[in-house]
Amino acid sequence: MAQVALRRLLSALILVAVASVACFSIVAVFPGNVARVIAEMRSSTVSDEIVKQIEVQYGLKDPVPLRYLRWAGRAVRGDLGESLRTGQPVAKDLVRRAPLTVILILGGGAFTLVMGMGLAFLGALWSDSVIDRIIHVLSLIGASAPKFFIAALLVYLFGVVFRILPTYGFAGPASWILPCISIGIIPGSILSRVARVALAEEMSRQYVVTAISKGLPRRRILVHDALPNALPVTINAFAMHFAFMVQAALVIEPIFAWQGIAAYFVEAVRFRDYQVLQSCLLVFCVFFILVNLSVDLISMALDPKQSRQRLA
Amino acid sequence: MPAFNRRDFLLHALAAGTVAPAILGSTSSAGQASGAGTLRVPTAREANDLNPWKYSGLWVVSSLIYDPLVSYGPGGKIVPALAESWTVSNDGLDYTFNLRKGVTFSDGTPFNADAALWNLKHWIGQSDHSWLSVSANFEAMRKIDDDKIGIKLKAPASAALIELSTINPMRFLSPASADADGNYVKPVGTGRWVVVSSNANGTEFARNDKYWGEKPAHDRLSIPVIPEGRSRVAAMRAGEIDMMGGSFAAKISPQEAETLKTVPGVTVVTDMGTDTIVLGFNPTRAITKDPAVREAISLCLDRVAIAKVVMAGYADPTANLFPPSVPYAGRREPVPNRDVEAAKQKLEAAGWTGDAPRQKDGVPLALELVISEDAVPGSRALSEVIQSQLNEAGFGVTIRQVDHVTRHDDIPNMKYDMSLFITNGAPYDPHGSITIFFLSTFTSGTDGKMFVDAEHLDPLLLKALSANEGEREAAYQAVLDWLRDNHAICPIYHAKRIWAHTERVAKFVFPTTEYEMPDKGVVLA
Repeated sequence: MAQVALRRLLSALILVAVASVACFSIVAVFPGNVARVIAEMRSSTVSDEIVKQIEVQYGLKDPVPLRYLRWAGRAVRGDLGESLRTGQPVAKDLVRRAPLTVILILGGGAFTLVMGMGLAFLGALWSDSVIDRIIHVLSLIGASAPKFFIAALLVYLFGVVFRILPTYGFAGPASWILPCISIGIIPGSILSRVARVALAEEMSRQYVVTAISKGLPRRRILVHDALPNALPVTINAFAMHFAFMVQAALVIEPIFAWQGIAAYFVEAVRFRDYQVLQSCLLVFCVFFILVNLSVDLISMALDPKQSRQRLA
Repeated sequence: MPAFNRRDFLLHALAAGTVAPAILGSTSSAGQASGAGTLRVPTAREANDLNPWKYSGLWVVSSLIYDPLVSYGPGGKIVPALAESWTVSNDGLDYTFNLRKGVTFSDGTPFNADAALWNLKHWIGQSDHSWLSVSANFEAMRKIDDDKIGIKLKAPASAALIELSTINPMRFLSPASADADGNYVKPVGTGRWVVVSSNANGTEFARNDKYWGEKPAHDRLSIPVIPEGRSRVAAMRAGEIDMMGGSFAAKISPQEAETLKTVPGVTVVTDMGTDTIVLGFNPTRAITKDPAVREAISLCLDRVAIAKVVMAGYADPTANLFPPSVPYAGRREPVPNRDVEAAKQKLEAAGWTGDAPRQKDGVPLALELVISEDAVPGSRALSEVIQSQLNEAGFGVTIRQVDHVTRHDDIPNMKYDMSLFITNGAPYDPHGSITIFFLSTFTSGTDGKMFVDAEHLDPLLLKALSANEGEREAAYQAVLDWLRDNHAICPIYHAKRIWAHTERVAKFVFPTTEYEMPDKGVVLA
């Protein structure tokens, strides 16, 4: 197990290095001259002389590999440079904004798990009943609705009509509810279908038939026998959606005026703030890699067959 | 496993029902300050760097903190602010300002000649600020006495007083708030509001009880950052913000204004705008050099329909470069009716023949329209209408939508046939737009050029920019007449200023320019 974990950790480090090159290259090949935008903050109308000064000052005309090495050299020491738009250190801004994105993703993940597993469990408990069919339809609707639409609908309902939750801002648990539901409802719907199918598959196996014939109640079999066996598939599906929540945060954070890392990235795209873009992309990649690594390790712990296969 | 019976379920549900409202209610106004004395006005972007000598901050926020020497009043009249009175020498070179006595910054530092000169030294005469004629023509400044300063220019600058009324870098920071080297540290001014906090979530203000003029009736001002237009509309409907709008605070689109109009308790107010949306031509491209082509384009445009449909009536169709709300805006030109047949005849006469796209000497009448939503909000819809209307006369128009940075590279480098421009508006017009967009010798940087003609247009522009007050109107009219006679540009509409407020705002007053936040005269219910 430890050997597998070490191997996966090493490959994750290589992936991070590759991701950093990819992030830098993507940002470097964007069209347009960012020096003009920086110059605009120095003077209202920008002369070519100022643009040239800025190109030299920021090394914008240097070859891309040299710029990458310079950036990577600073990044490994924890210095992600300064935002071209605000002049503030990027690392400091990331640390300041991180709690919002972490709460959004963890809250959204928790909602996904509760919703997905809850609906799947209820559906499996009353299999092929009206409740199961209603859950099925709701899951399909939830999975196919766009994120921004769901967010707007929730804001309208709970913020505008009932006025019980704030429509924007980050100030306490009440303000976390709508963003976390908005980000978690689509993966929750998908997860409910995956878990429901996994549970149905387990409930049709021979050991379940045996247990039922021995008189054990369906609820007990579901919780004690079917659920543990359906977990590895469910956790893998959850992890995939959990990792993609960063992408969903790009939509959700601006809607709820949360100044998290995703909102930072969106602002940076508009102003081609490449110091911020590269750093945010790297953070997203590291998060994605870490989630995948964690899930692999959790799956191995839950299912010893997997670690035996990987060691083989 | 203990059984979970119906009674347990009811007990848990009751408990949840009791606790939840307490939790939710305690923070239901999350994200914004509340209270009877707090006015809540969102911005779409964070205030950022509130250094008054830089250009990276949000000016609508700076306008609440810092005061100018003189203010831009209705109709472009210059009125006293930190300077009670002023004189200008007959040759237009010497300006003397009598400073208002007894004014202090909000930190208690006195505003006097020393503080004024200390501020001016941070920008006037420096290359970064040479786009301002008062800075480009600056020669010297002096302290006459504790309450009087003088500024001497090398050459007359007719817009000097108007420029001194603008926001950055003109306004005054408390010298005590700077570091030992005189660099900006924190935002402290003489304005009506004092910054309590400012970050990515917004800016919180307290009333400046040391303010020299009429103090605000409410004691707090909260400016949350809400980037999305739809979210701002929802926040207003939910009663979480009191007013919003403006070009640079939190723009309301015509469609959002229509939505807000239907909300009980919300009032949408409009006023004549001070800027103009213009279809500009690249004067270095062969096709757009042809005046017949430019005239045909103008004839194809249905300005009335554009104002009515694309802008939902929140715009006035126009053939003028400036709206009447701007000084020296010129004689009102009749808005031309759309006449596609006349456009076709002009093109035929100029040698552009055949089916769409027409051709002349084997060259197709194909034009690229470069647009950016960041530069001109709503330009995607507008450009599609323009494309469709021009196609009817045999033009082949392709639209290239670019982001902020690409536009800021392509437009100055003349990589376009046509583009949508927006004039600067008050207080920078008419002098600002005619300099930046038309004067061939002026480097416009990221703004680009609507049209240039060094031989014929530049002399008229220079005459207008240096004319004394008596000659100025005629000089500006000559520029506007030349642009019209040569079909140099296609003005399309003047967008209206749009603000909305809830019943918490008993009285709303538009600021004189879109660069400032509505403040003076705004009264909470």
